[in-house]
Amino acid sequence: MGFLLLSLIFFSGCVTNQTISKENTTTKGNTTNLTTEELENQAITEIEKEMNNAIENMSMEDIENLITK
Amino acid sequence: MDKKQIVVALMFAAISLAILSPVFAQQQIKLKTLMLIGKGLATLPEDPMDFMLVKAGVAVVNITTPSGKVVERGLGILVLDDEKYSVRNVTKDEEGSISGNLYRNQTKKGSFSVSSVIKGKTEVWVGTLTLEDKSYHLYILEAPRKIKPVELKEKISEYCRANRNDPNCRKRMAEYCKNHPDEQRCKEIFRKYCEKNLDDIRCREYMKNYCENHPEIKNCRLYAVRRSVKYCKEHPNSKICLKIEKDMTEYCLKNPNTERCKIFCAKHPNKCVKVIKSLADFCINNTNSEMCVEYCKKHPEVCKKLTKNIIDLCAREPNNEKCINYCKAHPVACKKVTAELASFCIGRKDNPRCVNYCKKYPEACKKVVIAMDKYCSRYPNRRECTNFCKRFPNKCKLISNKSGE
Repeated sequence: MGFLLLSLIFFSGCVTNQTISKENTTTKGNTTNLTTEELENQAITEIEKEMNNAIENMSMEDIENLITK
Repeated sequence: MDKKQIVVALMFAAISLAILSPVFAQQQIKLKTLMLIGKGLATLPEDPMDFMLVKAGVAVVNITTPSGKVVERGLGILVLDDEKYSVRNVTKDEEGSISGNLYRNQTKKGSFSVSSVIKGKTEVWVGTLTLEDKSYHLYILEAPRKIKPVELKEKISEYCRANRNDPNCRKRMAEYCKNHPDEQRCKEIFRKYCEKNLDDIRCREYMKNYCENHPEIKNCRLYAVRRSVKYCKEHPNSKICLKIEKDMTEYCLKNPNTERCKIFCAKHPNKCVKVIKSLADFCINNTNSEMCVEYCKKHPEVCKKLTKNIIDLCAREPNNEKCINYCKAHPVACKKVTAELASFCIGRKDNPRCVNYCKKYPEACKKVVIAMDKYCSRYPNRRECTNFCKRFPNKCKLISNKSGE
């Protein structure tokens, strides 16, 4: 039974660590829970990455097509 | 600890892992809808040569708060020349417009509002930007952004959860589509998902490509209309909106009973007073009409009203000797072509999608325009007349002339 209890504690520990490691990726490097505002900033960074990737795929051809059409 | 205990412990560990794994996987941020990504210009109206380069990204994001609650936020980024502004308080409407506030270092610096309009294959967002008391005209060309397999999995899963009876939604379909994104069933599910989620750039990209190959499908014919509603309300006389209105009118002449056309025709009754049929279909009921006399002399079998038995036979066996001529003129009845394509091609023999079809079925592509009042006086119970006769009861009481239409 002691082993079972130990297993449970071990896995609960894994979960907590996972959350902390996620939070460590924030700009502030805070290990406590992130505020909604910090999460929003994180989301804006994600959107920026998406934007830059998609815009890189915009060729001059797209723009030329638009102008000529 | 004996072997039995080890086995029990391992089982317990496995069960714990299974229960807790969703927590591991829980994402704190999820980009739910990519509303707008693109680049363009902001110009000062009083001096159009004074302009800024613009890059924009706006999305609906699901954020899981520390308490575990999921909140939805409209967020984004706007880069003006080299200055970055975060976009917050984003709002969108069903008519294809987005607005939001611009912040820099937590301080509000301005706002923007854009509406979409379709130009050829490109979606353009146009509107205004206000920044530190200056107003700009804003033009953003949408960037292409295809769905990625891992995102497709999510969307398929979302669609299939909400549409369990869809025959394409089988067990583990989402995972299957992640690995086979080009499989027909996966594409079909995603298309259906996209028809209701056009505010996502990935769906718009998909639908634009799909509609290029299927211009006859209802949702494709109305795609430009749906994506330009607000813009065309504000700029009804712009060249693109006049073209969109012309397309809409033509669509509504053939489909007066669709929901969108009921609204359109109620607003513009003068634009919806005709019904268009193919010459072949028209001549079945109007053999004495001027347009049909010659045609029916040449193709007597085509102008005959067939009995239900023969029509059923031709639908089943279009190559049956009794059906060959009839099917050439009435390919829809013989299931040789979809009703959507046939309707789309009436009067459009030069459209790339119709060229082959119209060569094969010339009489099915010839257009006959009939005044709705005369047509509906004669056939008040027909589907296309029910709405018309409700709105204009007096026009449905006309006595038809000798030729019938």
